[in-house]
Amino acid sequence: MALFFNQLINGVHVGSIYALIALGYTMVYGIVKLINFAHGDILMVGAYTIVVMVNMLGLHPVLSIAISVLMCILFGVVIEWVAYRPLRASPKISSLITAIGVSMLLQNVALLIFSPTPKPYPIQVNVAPLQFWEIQISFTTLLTFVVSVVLMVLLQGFVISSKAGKSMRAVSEDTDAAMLMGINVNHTITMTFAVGCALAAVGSLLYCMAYPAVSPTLGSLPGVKAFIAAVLGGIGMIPGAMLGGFILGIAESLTKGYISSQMSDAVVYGILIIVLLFKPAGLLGIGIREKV
Amino acid sequence: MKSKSKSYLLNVIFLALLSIVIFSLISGGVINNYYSSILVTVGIAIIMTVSLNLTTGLLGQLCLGHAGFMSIGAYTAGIITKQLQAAAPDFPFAWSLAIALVAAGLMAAVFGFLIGMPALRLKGDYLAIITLGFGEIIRVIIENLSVTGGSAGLSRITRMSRAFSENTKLSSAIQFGIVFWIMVVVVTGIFTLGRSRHGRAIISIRENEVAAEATGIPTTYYKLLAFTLAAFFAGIAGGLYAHQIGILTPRYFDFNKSIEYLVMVVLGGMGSITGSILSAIVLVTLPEILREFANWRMVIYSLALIIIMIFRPSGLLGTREFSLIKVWDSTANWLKNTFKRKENKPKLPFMPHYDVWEDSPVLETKNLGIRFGGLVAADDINLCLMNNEIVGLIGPNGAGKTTVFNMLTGVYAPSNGDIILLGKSIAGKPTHEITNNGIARTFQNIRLFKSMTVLENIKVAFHTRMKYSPVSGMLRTGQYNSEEKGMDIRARELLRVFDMEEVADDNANSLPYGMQRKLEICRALASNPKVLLLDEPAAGMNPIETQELMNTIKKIRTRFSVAILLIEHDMKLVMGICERIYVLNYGHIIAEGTPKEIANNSEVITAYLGIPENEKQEGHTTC
Amino acid sequence: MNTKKLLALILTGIMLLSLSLPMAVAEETIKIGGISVLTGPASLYGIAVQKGVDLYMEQLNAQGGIDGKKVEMLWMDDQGDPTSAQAAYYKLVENDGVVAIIGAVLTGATKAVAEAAEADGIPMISASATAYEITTGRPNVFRTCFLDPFQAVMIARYVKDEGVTKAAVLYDNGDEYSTGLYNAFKEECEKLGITVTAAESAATADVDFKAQLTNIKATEPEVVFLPYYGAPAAYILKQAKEIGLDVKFYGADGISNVIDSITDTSLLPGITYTDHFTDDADSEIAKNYMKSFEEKYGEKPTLAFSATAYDAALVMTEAIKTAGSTDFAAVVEAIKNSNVEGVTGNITFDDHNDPIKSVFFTTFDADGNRVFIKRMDP
Repeated sequence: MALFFNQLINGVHVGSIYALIALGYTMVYGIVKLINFAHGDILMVGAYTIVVMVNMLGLHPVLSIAISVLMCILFGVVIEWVAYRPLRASPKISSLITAIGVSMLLQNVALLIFSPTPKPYPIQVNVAPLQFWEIQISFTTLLTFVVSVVLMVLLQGFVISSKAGKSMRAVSEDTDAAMLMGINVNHTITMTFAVGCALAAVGSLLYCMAYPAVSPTLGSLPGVKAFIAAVLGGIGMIPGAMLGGFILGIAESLTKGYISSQMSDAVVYGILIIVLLFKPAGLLGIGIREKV
Repeated sequence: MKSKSKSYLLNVIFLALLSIVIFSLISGGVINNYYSSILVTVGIAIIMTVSLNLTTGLLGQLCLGHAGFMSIGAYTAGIITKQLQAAAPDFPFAWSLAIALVAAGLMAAVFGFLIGMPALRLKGDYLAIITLGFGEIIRVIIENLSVTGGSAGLSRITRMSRAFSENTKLSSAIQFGIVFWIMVVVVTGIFTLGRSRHGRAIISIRENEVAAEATGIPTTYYKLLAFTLAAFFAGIAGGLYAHQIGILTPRYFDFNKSIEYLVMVVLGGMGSITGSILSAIVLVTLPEILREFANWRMVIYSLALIIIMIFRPSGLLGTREFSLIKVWDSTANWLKNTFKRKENKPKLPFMPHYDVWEDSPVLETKNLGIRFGGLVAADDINLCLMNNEIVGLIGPNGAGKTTVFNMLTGVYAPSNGDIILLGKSIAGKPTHEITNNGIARTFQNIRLFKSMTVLENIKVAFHTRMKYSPVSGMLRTGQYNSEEKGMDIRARELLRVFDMEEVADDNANSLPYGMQRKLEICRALASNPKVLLLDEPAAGMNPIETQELMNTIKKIRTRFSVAILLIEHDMKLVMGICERIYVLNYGHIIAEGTPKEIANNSEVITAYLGIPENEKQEGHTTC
Repeated sequence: MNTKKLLALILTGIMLLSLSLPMAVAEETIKIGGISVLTGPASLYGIAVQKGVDLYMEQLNAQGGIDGKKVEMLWMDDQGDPTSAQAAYYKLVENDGVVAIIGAVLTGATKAVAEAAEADGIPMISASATAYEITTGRPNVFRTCFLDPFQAVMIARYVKDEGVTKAAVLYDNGDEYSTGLYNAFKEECEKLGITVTAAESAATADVDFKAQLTNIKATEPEVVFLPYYGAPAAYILKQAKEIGLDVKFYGADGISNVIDSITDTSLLPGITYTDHFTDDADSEIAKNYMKSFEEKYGEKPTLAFSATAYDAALVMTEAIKTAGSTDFAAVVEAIKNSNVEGVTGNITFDDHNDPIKSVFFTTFDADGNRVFIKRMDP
C-alpha cells in the first residue's frame, strides 16, 4: 500500500510539472489555434538564463529567477512577433512548420552557445523529505504541486474576471468579432504569449529543480508531454490542462510501477487515443459540432 | 492531337533516357557510391513525401506518424529477406527483394487501415496528435519485440548496392534503377489517382467534408483509402531503405523523422506532387551540401525553413504543379495511344431509374422528430412530396427548417419517426447513401469545393454514378478513359443548361455570389436526384437575381423531373413558385396548404408573418 | 509578392550553389577519414573522440608523420544518423580518397558505416562503439574500447568481491548500450550467485525514474547497477536520494561524465564505475596524454573516449607504418597483429577484433574529482 502511495506521489509530482507547462500550451492554442512546438524550448531558455545568471554572473537566485521569467517572456513575444504573426492568415500547417523551425533554431543555437554537455542547474532546495510511515513526500514535490495549483487558480481567475482575460477569451472565441468590438487583437495575442511564457519560466524552474541537468534539448520531452496533457484535458481549457497533466503524470508513474516501464509511453499514448475516441475534444473540452 | 502524342513520347523517352544515363554513369563509376547513395536517399524521400502528401495535401488531414509506417515496412522487408536468405541461400535476391517489398507495403497498409479506422473519426490537430501517438506506439512495440531485434535493431540486411552483382558499381546502378522506377510508379500512381474520380472524391473531403458527403461521396471510405494507400507506399519506401542501409534501429523512425517528411510536404506545397518532389530533393541534398558548415548546418537549415514559410506560407509551389511534370499525365495517354489504337467510347454516367407512381409521394416523413439533449428541435413532422412538385418549407428563424433538411439527408439521425423515399425507409442512413438513393441538397451557407474548378465540382457529384476502381484510375485503363470522357460530356451539358459553360475551368471561389449558388444547385442535380432540397437559395440575392432564380427552379423541375422542397424567407419567391407550403414553428408544422391558403391563415400570420402578407409583399417589391 | 518569391528562390538557389564548392586540393598526404557525431545532443561523445584523434595526429605530424608524409584527418559529421553516416563514409572514401576510417561514434551509425566498410575492406577502427556484433565477421573492423558484455561481467565480479548478494538493475530499454550491459550483467550475476532482485527499465530520454526506483527500493537490494550515460545517471542519483533509496550504485564507462550534470556532488561518492582509462595512470604515454590534452584544449579530458580515440589513431597510424603502404589488406593485417603501448594500456586484438585490456574501477570524491579504486584484468 505504501508503495502505491509513493508511486502516486511520484505521479503527482511529474503531473504538476506537465500541468504547469500545459497551461501555457493551452492558452496559446486557445487564442491562435497553433500547436506552439517551440513552447518546450522556452523552458530551455529559462533554464539557461538561470545557469548564466547564477553560475557565470553570480547573481542571487531570486533575482535570477525574475530575470529568467522576463527572458522567457521576451523570447515568447519576439517569436510570436517575428515568426507567427506574419503567418496568422496562412494555413495553420504553415504556422505549425514555422513553430517546428523555431524550435529547431532555438535548440541548435543553444547547442552552439552552450555545447551539448549538460550543465548542472544551480538552484536546489535541500530540505529533508516529509515522512509519514512508509510514505515519503519530498519538499520539491510539495512545492511543485502547490505552485502549479496556485498558478492554475490565479490564471483561471485572471482569464475569467480581469479585463485582459476577457479580451483573451473574446479573441479566442471569434477574432474578427473581437476586433470589431474594439479589442486590440495583436496586443491580446502578445499578452497571451507573454503569460504563457511566464508560466513556462516557472515550469522551467520547477522542472529543473527536479531534473537538474540543463541541456539544449531539455524542453523537447516535457514539451511533448505537456502538449499531450493539454489535448487530453481539452485543449484551450485551463482546468483541462491541469487535469490532463495530473492524469498523464499519475498514469505514467503507475504504469512504470505496476505494468511495465518499457511500455509506459505506449500506455500514455494509448490513454490519449482512447480518450480522444470517446471524447473527441478531450476530457473537459466541449465538442463543437459543425453547423450545417 | 498528333503533336501532343509526340510530346508524350518525348517525355517518356526523357524519363527512360534519364534513368539509362544515370544508370550507366553509376555503373561506369562516373557517379560514385557517395552520389549514388544520395540519389537513392532522395528517391526514398520522394516516395515518403509524395505518399504523405496524399493524406496531408490531398485529403487535408495532418499526419504526424508517417515514419511509423515506414518502420513497419522496413522491418517487414528486412526480416523477410533475412529469413529467406537463411532458409534458402540460393534463392535469387532480386526475387526475395520483390517479395519483401510487396509484403512491406501490405503490412504497412494493414496497419494504416487498422489505425485509420478509429483515428479518422477525428479531425485537424486531434487527428495529428493521434497519429503522433500511434507512430510512437509502433516504435515502442518494435523496441520491445525480439523478432525486430529490440533496441539493437536488425543488422546485416542484404544491401542492394552489392547484392545484385559481384561488380559493386553495377550493383549500385541496379539499386538506383530499382528505386528510380519504383519512385516513378508511385509518383505517377498518386498523380493519376489525384486526377481520377477517386482523387476528386479525396480532394472534395479536404475542401468541404459535409458537402462531399451530401454530394454522395462515402467520406469514411475515401479517408481510409487515402490513409491506407499512403501507408502502403511508406511501407515500400521503408523496405527500400532497409535494403539500402543494411541496418535498422527503432530510434531512427521516431517523431522527428515523421516531422522531417512533413516539413518536406509543406515546404513543397500541400497537394502539389511536384512540390513534394522538389522539396525532397532540396532537403535531402541540403544537409549534404552544408556538411562543411558542421555546427551551423542545423541553424541555417532551421532559419531557411522559417524564412521560406514566412515568405511563401503555402510552400514553394503551393498547390500548383510544375509544368514539366505533364510527363506523368502524358505517359499513360501516350501508352494508350500507342498500344490501344481504338478510341474509347465515352461512357455516360449511370442514370438511376426511379420507380415513381403518380399518386404516391416520392418523399414522405412520418411523425419525424429529433431531440438534442433535452431540447426538442423538431417533433411530429409529417411532410409529403409528390412527383415533380415544388413545395415550400417556411417558418421564422430557429423554427427547425434546416434541422428537417438535415434529417432528410442523414446529417442528423432522427430520434423518432420515419422517412420514406420512393417507398423505402431511409431514416438514419448515412448521407452519401441517401444521396445515392435520390435526395440531393444545397446549403444555407454555400459549400462548394472552393479550390476545385467548376467542372470538377460537378464531376465530384457524378462520383456515385461511375464505376471504375482506384487501380484503374491509377493505371488509366480504357474504363477510366471512357467513363471520364462521359463525365466530361455530361458535366458540360449540365453547365450549358445553367449558362455556365464558359466558366467551367474557373476555380469555384472565383465565381460571383449568384453563380456560386447556381453552381451548388447544378452540383446537386449532377447526382441525378429524384428529390432536390434547396436551403434558402435566394439568400443574399437582389430582386433581379431572385427573379432569375425563380425561372431556373421552374426550369429544373421540368427538365430534370425532380420534386423540389425549398426553404426560403423571400415570400415573393415562395408564393411565386411553390404549389404547396408547409409552415414550421417551434419544431412543429402549424399549417399546410396552397400559397393562397397560407397567406390567409390567421395562425400563420400571427405566429410567423406578424404583418399582413400583402403589405410584406409590397415592401419587398418596392425596395 | 514577386520579391518574396525571388527571395525564396534565391535562398534555395544559394543552398544548391554551395554544392559546387570546390573540393580542397591536398598535397601529398596520407588521408584518414573520421566519422563522428559532431553536432546535436550526442555530440559531446563525438567531440571527445575528435579531440583525442586530433591530438594524436598533431603530435604525429609534429614528429614528421608517417615516413615523411603528413597525416591529414578529414572529419565528417554524421549527426548520429545511420543514413548520414553511410553517406559520409562514401564521401570520404570515394570523393576524398581516404585510406582508413576512424569512427563512427554512436552504435547505430557505426553499424551503418561498418556495413559499407566491410564490402570495401578498408581498415576501420571505432573508438567508442561498444556493441558486440559490430566487429563480428568483419575482419577489417576494429575497436579500441571494450565491449558491453565485458564491462558488465567485470562489474558483476567486482560486486561479488565486495560480498554483495542482492543487486538490482535500472536500464534504458530503448538503448542498445544499456540493454547490452544489463543482459550481460544479469547473466554473470546468475553465474556468480548474486540475486537480481529487480530489473526495471525506462524509455530513452526519460527523466523521471522515481517510479522505477520506488519499485527497486521495495526489493531491498544492496547495490543498483545503472548502465546509463551521465545526464540520466545524475537524475537517478538525485531521485534515489529523494525517495530514500540509500545503496551503492555501479555504472559502466558511459556514466563517467555524470560529474557534468550533477548539482549535488555529495552524491558522487555513492557511485563506482568502470573506465577505459584513469587520469592517475602512471605510464609515460598516459601522463604525456593528460598533459598535452590540457595544453591543447585548455581543459582535462571529460570522457575516456578521448583516450580510446587517441589510441585508435595510434593503432591505425602504427599499422600503416608497419604495413609500409596504405594497401587495405596489409594495413588490416598490421592492425590485427598490433601490440602497442597506448594511453589505455597495452593494446592487442583478439579473434573478434576487440582489444584485450584492463578495466579501471573508478569513483568520485565529494568534490567531484575522479578517484581510482582498482584495476581488473580479464
